[in-house]
Amino acid sequence: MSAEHKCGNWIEHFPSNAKWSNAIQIVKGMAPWGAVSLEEVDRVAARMTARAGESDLDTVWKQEWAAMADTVAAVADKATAEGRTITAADHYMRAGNYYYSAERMIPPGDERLGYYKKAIRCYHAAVERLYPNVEHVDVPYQGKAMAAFFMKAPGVKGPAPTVVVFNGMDNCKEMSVIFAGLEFAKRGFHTLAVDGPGQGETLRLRGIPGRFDYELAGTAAYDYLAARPEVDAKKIAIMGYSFGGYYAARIASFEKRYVAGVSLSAANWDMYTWQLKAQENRKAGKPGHANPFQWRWVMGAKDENDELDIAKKFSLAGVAGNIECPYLVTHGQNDKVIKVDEAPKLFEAIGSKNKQLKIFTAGEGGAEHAHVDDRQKGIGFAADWLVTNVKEPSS
Amino acid sequence: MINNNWTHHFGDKNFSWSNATMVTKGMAPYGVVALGEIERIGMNLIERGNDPTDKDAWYQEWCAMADHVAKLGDEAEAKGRKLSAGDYFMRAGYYYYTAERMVYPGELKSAIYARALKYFNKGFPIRYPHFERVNVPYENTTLPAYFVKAQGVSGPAPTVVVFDGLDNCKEMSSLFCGLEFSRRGYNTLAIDGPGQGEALRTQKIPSRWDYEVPGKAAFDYVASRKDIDKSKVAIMGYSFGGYCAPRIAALDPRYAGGVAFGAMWWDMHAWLVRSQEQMKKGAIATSHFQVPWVFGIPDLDFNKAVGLMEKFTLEGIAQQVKTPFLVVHGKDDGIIPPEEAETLYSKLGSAKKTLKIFDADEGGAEHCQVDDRQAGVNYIADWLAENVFAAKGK
Repeated sequence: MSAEHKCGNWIEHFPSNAKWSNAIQIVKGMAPWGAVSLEEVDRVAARMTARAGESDLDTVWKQEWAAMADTVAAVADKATAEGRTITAADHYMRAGNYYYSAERMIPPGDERLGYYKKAIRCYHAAVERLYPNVEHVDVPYQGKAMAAFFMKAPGVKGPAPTVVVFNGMDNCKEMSVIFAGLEFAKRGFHTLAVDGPGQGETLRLRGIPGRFDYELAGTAAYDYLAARPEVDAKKIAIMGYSFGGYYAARIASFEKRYVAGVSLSAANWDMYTWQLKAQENRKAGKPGHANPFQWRWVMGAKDENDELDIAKKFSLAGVAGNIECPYLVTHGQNDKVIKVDEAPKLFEAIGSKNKQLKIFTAGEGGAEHAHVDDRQKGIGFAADWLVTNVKEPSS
Repeated sequence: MINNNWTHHFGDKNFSWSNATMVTKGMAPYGVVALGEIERIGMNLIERGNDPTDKDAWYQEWCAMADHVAKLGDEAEAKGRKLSAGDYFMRAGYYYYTAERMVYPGELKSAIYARALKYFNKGFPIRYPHFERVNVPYENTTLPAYFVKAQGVSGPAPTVVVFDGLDNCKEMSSLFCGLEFSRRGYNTLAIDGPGQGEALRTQKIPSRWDYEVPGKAAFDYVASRKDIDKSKVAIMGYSFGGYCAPRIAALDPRYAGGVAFGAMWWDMHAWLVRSQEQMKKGAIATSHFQVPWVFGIPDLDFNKAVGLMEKFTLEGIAQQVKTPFLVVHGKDDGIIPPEEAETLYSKLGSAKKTLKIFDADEGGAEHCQVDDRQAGVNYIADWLAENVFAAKGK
């Protein structure tokens, strides 16, 4: 490995297990907001490493995260009973992230749902206590509703610019409202952190799967915001991170009321080939970063053929050319989940005159997937870009 | 694979570097350092031999990363990206401060500290515009401090005065205590006392055994402010400040309560006598020059420091503490063992006193809970609410 590409414990916590390293990095990525304790994360990892010889590693993962989550949630409940509200909130936030992590490797079903319910009980107890400027809202969508958080920028008077944030394949509004919302708020933006179709609460509790034509979700989010008096409807931007890098570009292509868009990392350009390879790797017993059930579950696919048929529709070829608004694509040079080569493909296809591609190198940091190794660096860059292109455009 | 990378970044055989890195990583929950950057520094240091006596490697690698992020900050500032610039300035400040730690007192050390302070002073006003930079009158000079106001409180609020340890600074405590106390409705005066942070480095004010003098100065200052409730001022010190806080609580009864966030060695003289050789080898956390430097000993004469240390005792003093007092310690503290906390606790004269030892099963078992600062500070904040602030008629 070249000096540029060497990784340590922070990025590759489990050198022989890419799936675990990626998943734990997502939890650790919440550290700059005090939402997880790295000491606890380190202990969970040490316990998992001690069990790395077991045959069912997904069960090891679930049990160790759940055990720490139970411990921390008990501290939070006790603190609540004793009236120690803020201490309770900090521990609920940690427990929420640990339960959500535990849930990640469990196949869809009642057990998984049980862990998810524990996660959101804790997450929501934390957000209520720590962030009174966050509202848990329903965004009307196709006769149902998407679950979302609306974070108001403190101290802002009158209608303000707003960013809609959609998640990726595994993440949730409880992460994005913190890592994106707090930083946007500092710059005077409100944030709507949405669990879109196939994401977070909307998939798990409302049974709404993902879809290729995400502009329907994007339009629903726009309509919802445009009706809120705090929002300046002429200054709403769309952003997606990780797999949401596809969704954001798709939405910007069709819902022209968004005045700017950000793919905080691009998704795979050719989703069909990507899924086909994932199927082949599974058959060959080669583990990837994603869980084998993830695509089928998130998209509500019936079987393997259906998985591929759906993947075929997830193409921005002939679509991204319709984007006219200012658009930012970011990516990490060392992204192990989606290779950096995918980002220029999206960038080239985007029709906007005002577009930017920003690749974070290992030398500057933020070089991992969706900049999870240094989230602040990626979000800081995106937030500054939004200020220039949405809040205070020069022309 | 190293499992305890979080607390022992450089392995057990290099505790000096592991400890100093942990202090910097302990700022991660406040988003002011980047763990990916710290990891890159650590990898370079390991490649250069992982040798605690190689002070050059230490400061060069930390300075190189600090230079890098300072440049990112300067570039962002030039482009009008103020908030991003602020993030980078904060990081640069902590990395320079960490680099400076191992450098022998002299021009190089001063130059690195000057850079740390420059970037702290650029970063704080951007990221924490509500922090007030104040000068606390002290003898014929002043002590530098940050005053962090209670959030959402209009009238006079309870206030915590926080003194640092041997190596730390107000730029740390104003965040890890100040932010937490603020959201609970308390003001914080995070102060670089004599022998600490900027007071030592820029103003050349050495430490002193009779720390009640700066303690009184801090009380006089906060009492002069309209936004504080004089009947609810607590005194707190962390690490070496665990010596200062009980001393101040004993001798300035205007403080309504106190906290030793980590107890200090009960017998500091004996500690220094037996630690000299280990300090020379880099085998323990404290650099060999640190104690003579902090105490202003001419020519950094270690033997004179040992002599002076005889005065640093709480024997006969701790017994005079009458206000509610909390002693917090980590069971696995690799710098000061938890037995020292038990000794301090047993000597305290307070009718209402609490000893809290964090163990490995609950986390925060390291020195001053640096491995999980939030757990330590949350505990302290709750204790203050229940034993000092609310008790006095809410």
